[in-house]
This record gives sequence, structure tokens and C-alpha cells, in this order.
Amino acid sequence: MSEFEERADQLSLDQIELSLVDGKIFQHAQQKLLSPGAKLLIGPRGAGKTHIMRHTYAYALKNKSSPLAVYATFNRYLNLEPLLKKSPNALKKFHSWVLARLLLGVYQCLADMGLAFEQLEEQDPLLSLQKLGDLVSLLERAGGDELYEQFGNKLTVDHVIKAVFVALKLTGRNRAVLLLDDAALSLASPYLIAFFEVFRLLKAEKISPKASVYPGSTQYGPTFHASHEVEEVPLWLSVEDADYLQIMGDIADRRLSLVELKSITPETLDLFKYVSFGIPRVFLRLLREYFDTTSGSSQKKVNKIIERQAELIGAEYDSLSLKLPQFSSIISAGRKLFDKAVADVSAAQAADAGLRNIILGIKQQDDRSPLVERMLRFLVEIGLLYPLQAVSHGANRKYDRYVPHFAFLYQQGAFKEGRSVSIKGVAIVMQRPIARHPIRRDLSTLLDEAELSGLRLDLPPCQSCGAKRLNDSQRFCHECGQELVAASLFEECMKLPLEKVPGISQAMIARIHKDTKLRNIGHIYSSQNASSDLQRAYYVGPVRAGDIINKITLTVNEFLS
Amino acid sequence: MAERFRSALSLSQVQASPIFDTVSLFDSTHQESQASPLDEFLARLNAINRLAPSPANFDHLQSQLVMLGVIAAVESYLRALLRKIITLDDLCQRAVESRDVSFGAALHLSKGMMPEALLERVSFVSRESIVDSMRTFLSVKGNLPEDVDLAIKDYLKVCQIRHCAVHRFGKLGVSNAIALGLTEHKALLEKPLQLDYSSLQNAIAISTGFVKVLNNHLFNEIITRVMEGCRGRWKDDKKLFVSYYNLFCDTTSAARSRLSCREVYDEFIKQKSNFESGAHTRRQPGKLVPQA
Repeated sequence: MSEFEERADQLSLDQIELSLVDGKIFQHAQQKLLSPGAKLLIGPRGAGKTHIMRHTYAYALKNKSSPLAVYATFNRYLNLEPLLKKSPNALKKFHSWVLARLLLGVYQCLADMGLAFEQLEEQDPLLSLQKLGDLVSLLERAGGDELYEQFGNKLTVDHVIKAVFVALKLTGRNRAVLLLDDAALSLASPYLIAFFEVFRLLKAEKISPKASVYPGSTQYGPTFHASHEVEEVPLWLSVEDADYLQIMGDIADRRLSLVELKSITPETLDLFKYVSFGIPRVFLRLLREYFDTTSGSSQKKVNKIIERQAELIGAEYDSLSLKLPQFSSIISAGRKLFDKAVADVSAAQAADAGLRNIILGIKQQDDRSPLVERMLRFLVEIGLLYPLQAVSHGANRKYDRYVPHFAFLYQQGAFKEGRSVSIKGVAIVMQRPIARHPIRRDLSTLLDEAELSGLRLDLPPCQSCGAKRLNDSQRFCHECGQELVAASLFEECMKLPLEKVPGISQAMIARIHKDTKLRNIGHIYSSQNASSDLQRAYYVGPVRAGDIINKITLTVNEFLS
Repeated sequence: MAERFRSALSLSQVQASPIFDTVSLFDSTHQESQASPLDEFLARLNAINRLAPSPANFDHLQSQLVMLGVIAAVESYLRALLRKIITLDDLCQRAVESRDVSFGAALHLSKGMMPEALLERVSFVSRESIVDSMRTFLSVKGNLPEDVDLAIKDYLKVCQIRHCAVHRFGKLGVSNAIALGLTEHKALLEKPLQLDYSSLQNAIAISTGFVKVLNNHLFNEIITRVMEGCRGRWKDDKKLFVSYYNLFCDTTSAARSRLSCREVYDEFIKQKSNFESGAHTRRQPGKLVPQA
């Protein structure tokens, strides 16, 4: 199997440092992360947000003329999501968790620079490294009430600012940037709002917060207005970018061995660059598959790989409805809209031999419902549609413009040469002049009437009497009066049986069942000592146990990200 | 002295008042419920919730009336709970023994109902009245935990809105605006309340949350106090524990604890002995702790 990792949070800092490409978009983003002022780094999953943040962090550590960079990730926010359902002070606990994670980031930064941090600890009893670490890990495991009551709830944004100033003094840097990774918090909107309140307060003289978020999100709460409080830094490379092939090529150069690079034709490599649609993680996945597959003729093999990737991306999109069941109708309608868009764009492109015709325009209508907006936003968030500036084709004829994902266009035959799909097809199309107008559609031509009128929220019925809910702000049943209980996403994930964790063999699961009481992800995730619990099973030692725990952690992170 | 002229015009015709027999208004056959005050509250709440206007055909006035009903249910819960605890608990009885009740109450109320007379002049619409009642009637002292504190704060906001609805037909008064935050509300003085569907649902949720949080808190405070010298044997402790458990138990709500009284007792003994053996200080973080 090829030895490279496609998730940046699994790479070491040294690997991160070596592997960032010099493409303009990345350079620009890094520059924005280091410069003064609050910024939002925007890209879909896999676009390289974590990578660039960690690279910026590593760069700033070593570069004395850089500002002090503090890195903190909030990818575990869903561990605190069950609190929203059962604890009146959930938002306060979340607030403390965010601040504690930031403070730990300050400590980590001093440690990575090889500096002693006693001076920071002595500033204030609330800055105790031990307690902060305990608070974070306990809150993430649904505990820590006691520590929170006597310690955590006293943390304020000022403590973070104070700690950053101490760190500035210790390091001799003259200003700081706070890199807040995985701040999209897209699955728990009350936390998103609370988070951006903290974000706003972190803006201070000499301190600039930067957060990474998904595209399409606009709801950061009533006190935070993205458009005039922060600068947005896009990180999703457009396939139409003049340097697209080169930048993606740099990624391959840095992550592949020479032998690997030689064993793939430039045409195939270019095709992979295009069908990964500006997402480095997908590009690396394609390459890994390619080097892992030995059989088949080149064209067939490549088609198979692209087909599988398209399936994976589609599955990732579909899995949104598991995570957000209330949106499942909207998500499946979105898929239909996307499929139709791909079919229409592919047909138009295949029919036009002289031009590049890859843009879909969807007419804006005044009465477009928020549900339709949400539907389009999901497609952008996952990376199936690349959003471009809207254009006007005359009064009341404004069009939102999108480029559909190339892997899907490829499969639909958009880039055929003559009658057959060819490896060079995409590159040829991309060199043609662009068509003057996008392929224009009304919403009602992409979805039929039944599908459009069927757009609704899927709310679970009342758990006591089964009455259908009236809307999503309902909290009490109108039939029986009982309080409606909301399901917790995190708890749903914890209930997944071990059989659902990819990579654990059936035989292993049978042994775990036979020798231990561990049955679902939650049993292992919340165990005090998961490793020794697992080692009760026959033929499981520390190494195997560690391996299982890693796989479970990965599954949890994937499910909850 | 010459008689003064008084006009005798009639702008509207008024009928004779119908007979209003207040004696027949109350159900004399009613037996005091054996359910816990929380269960009683939830039953009333369910009945009121069914009256809430539907979002499709929303009526603001009806929405305000529903909110008033919910607050009446909260107040009734507080009175019932305080009365029942005082009746049962020696320490509470000692705490209130020097307090006065009206002669009428002393003469006519049954012993079990007497504590109601103590609460006659208490209204639960301010932080002081809620916290002071817990202190003076129940001897529950010390700082409030954060969740209780927050729940009270949120509930008091609903109380301010209630005040506008009851006394001013929904218009925002100056004292309410001050309590809610004058800077944000000054432009809204004397403007009418628009309690829309989701705000009504939220107000009910806040009131319910307040009752449940307080119920948990008082149960913990009082059961800890009562069971201080207990031996940890169900056979010995059963009678005492059950009598207090029944004052607080939740047998109706969808999100209630599924433990039986005995299981709650076992959990209590477990927490108590953990504390006594010093194991409470810190849980050892296990394998899957986050990277700093």
C-alpha cells in the first residue's frame, strides 16, 4: 500500500512543513493567516484548511520575524453536543471548553518553541496546565462537573488574552495570530453562535483570530456579521485557475516518491488533478488507489478508480442525512438536483465541440425558500458544486453560477473525445475558450414539481403519542402536551455497534463479543482504560488494542466532522 | 344648599349582573393528590400545552394566555413542594417555627395545609423571593450551582413578560424594561408584546426547565442533608429515603431518569461512599484523551 496520509490532522508537524505546495492560493492564504486582522479561511472538507493552518503554525514557530501563532482545533465540539439536550448551562460549558482549548494551545506553542512555561502558570491559578487539560478531557467525555464548577466556569476571554500577552513577552514576538481550526461547527448551531461570540472578543490589539469554516455557511449569530467583521480567505482551488495543473502537480511532487511519479503517465496525472476538483484530499485518495491497483488496462483502471471516488464523495454527501436527519428530504432532493445538473451540463458540453461549457446557472427567484438555500448550501459544503459569482442576464434574470464536480461530469461523458471517454478529454476541454453563457436553468427544470413541493424538514414524531410535529421550533406536542425529546447526534454515534467500524475483522469482533462486554463505540470511547478492556479478548495485546482504538477514534471523527 | 347638577347619560346599556356564587366555584370533593409536585406540574403543563395556538392559525392573545397558565402552574408547583417539604422535614419545621400565620389559617386549615399559609404573601417572581424562600423555609443555603442560577435568570425574564401581559395587556412597562435591560429595551417602551409561536414554545421550555432544575437541586440538597448519618443499608434507610423521594420523583416526563427509587438510592450510596473514600477528587483520564 502506498505510504501517504491524506488527512492533515494525522501528519506530524515535520511532514506538514515539507508538504505544503507553493501555489498562489496557498501562499496567499498563509500570508492572510499571518497578517493582522480577523480572517475566515473558507473551504469544503478536504480542501486543505487544517494543512495550511498547521503549516502556518510550524512556519511561525521557526521564523522569528513572524507573529506568534497559537493553534487550537475544535473538531471535538460534538462531544459536547449532548449537553445541549440535557444541561441548562451547556453554552457556558462550551464557552469554557473553547477557552481552555485556546489556553492549551498557548502552552503547546511555548512547549514547541522549547520555552519554559512556569511564568505563564504563575500568572493566575486559573492558568494551571494540569487543570486545563483535565477540564478539556473531562468535558469531552461528558464529565467534569465538579472541576467545571470550581474552576472552569471562571475562565474568561480575558484569561486567553492575558496568556497570549505573556507568551508574546516570553517569545519576544510583537503580535499574535490565533489559528482556530475546524470552527465550522456545522452540526450544532447554538455552539457555532457561541463560538463566534468568543471569536469576536478575541480581536484585540496585537491579537488576530483566524477560523477555518465551510463555504456556504452564513449564520454566525446575531452579534457576528461575517461580511464586515472579517475578511474571507477562500481556499478552494478552482479548476479554472490558470495555475491549477501546476499547483496540483506540486502536491503530487511533494507527496509521491520518484518511482511512483515515474509510473504514472502525465495525462493520467492531469486527469486525476481535474477530477479531484480542487480538493487535495481527493487527489491523494485517487493516487493511492491508482498505485494500489495493479490489474486492468490503463483506461479501464482509471475509469474504475474515478467511479469509486465519485461513489465515495456521493456517499459522504448522503451520509449527511444520517447526521442531520431533520434535513434528509432536503439532502436527497439536493442529490437529485445535482444529478440533473450533471446530466444537463454533460450533455451540453458533449454536444459542443468548440467551447468549454461547464458552468450551471440557476435562476434566482425572490420567493426562493430557505429550504432551497439550505439544499444548495449542503452541495457546496461537501464540494459537489463550486460556487462562482452570480451574474445578471438582464432585469430579474440573475443567475447563481456553479461548476459541478468534475468526477461526476467525467462519468456522465462530458469530456468525451468523439464517441469514447478518453484520459485526455478533460485537459482538451479545459483549453477551449469558455462559453459566453452558463447553462441556464430554473429551479423548476432541475427538480420536478413534486420534488420541489416535497422540500420539507423531516422531524421525528412526538415520542409519546406519535403526533407529527408542526415545525422545527416546536418544543411541546400539540396533541398530548408532552415535551418533545431531541435525539443527540453524538449519542447516535456512540450507539453504533463495533461491526460498523471499518477495518475490524469479523473474527476479531466475534472474539471481543465472546470475551468482553464491549459492544458499541460508546463502550470503548468512554472506557477509563479501553486498551486493557480490549485485551481481555483472546489474542488481543497492547498493539492490537491500540489499533482498534485508533480505528474507532477515526470512525468517530469521520462521523462527527 | 342648592342641589348640584349631575348628568344622567347612558353611553352603553348595562344588564344586571348575573349571580356569581363563589362557593360553588371550587370543587369541595377534591382530594389532595398523592403525586409529587413535579408530576402534578407536568400533568397541568400537558393540559395547557394542548391549548397552545397552532403555528398555522396563530393568535397572539391566546399565546399570552397560555404563558400565564404555565406560570400559574410553576407557582403552584413551588407552593406544593415547599408545603410538602415543610410538613415532612423536621429541620424545615424548626426553621419556620417562629413565623406567623393568619388567625383564619390557624383556625381552619388542616395541619398538612398549614404551610400554605406561610407562603400566602410570597410571590415567586423575583430572584430574591425564590432564593430567600429556599433559604428561610427549607434552610437550603450556600451559593447556587450555575445551572440553577441560569435557570432562575431565564425564568425571571419570562416572569417580566408575564407582568406585561397581566397588568398592561402586553405593553412593555418601564420597570419591566429596566429588569430586562434598559439599553436594549428603551425603544420598546409601551409597545405591545408579540409572543410568536417559537417564543411561546421557548418560554414554556424555560419554565419547565426551571422547575426541573430546581427539583433536582432541592432533591440533592435535602436528601444529602437527611441521609447524612445513614448506614447504607436499604432495609434501614428505606422508609426515610422513600418518603423524600416521593416528594421529588418524576414519573411522567419523557426525559425522566429510568431508575427506580431503589436504584436511585443505590446510586446515592455509591456517590456518598466514593466521596468518603476520596475517590471524587479526580477521574483518571483514560486512553482517548485529546491532544493538547
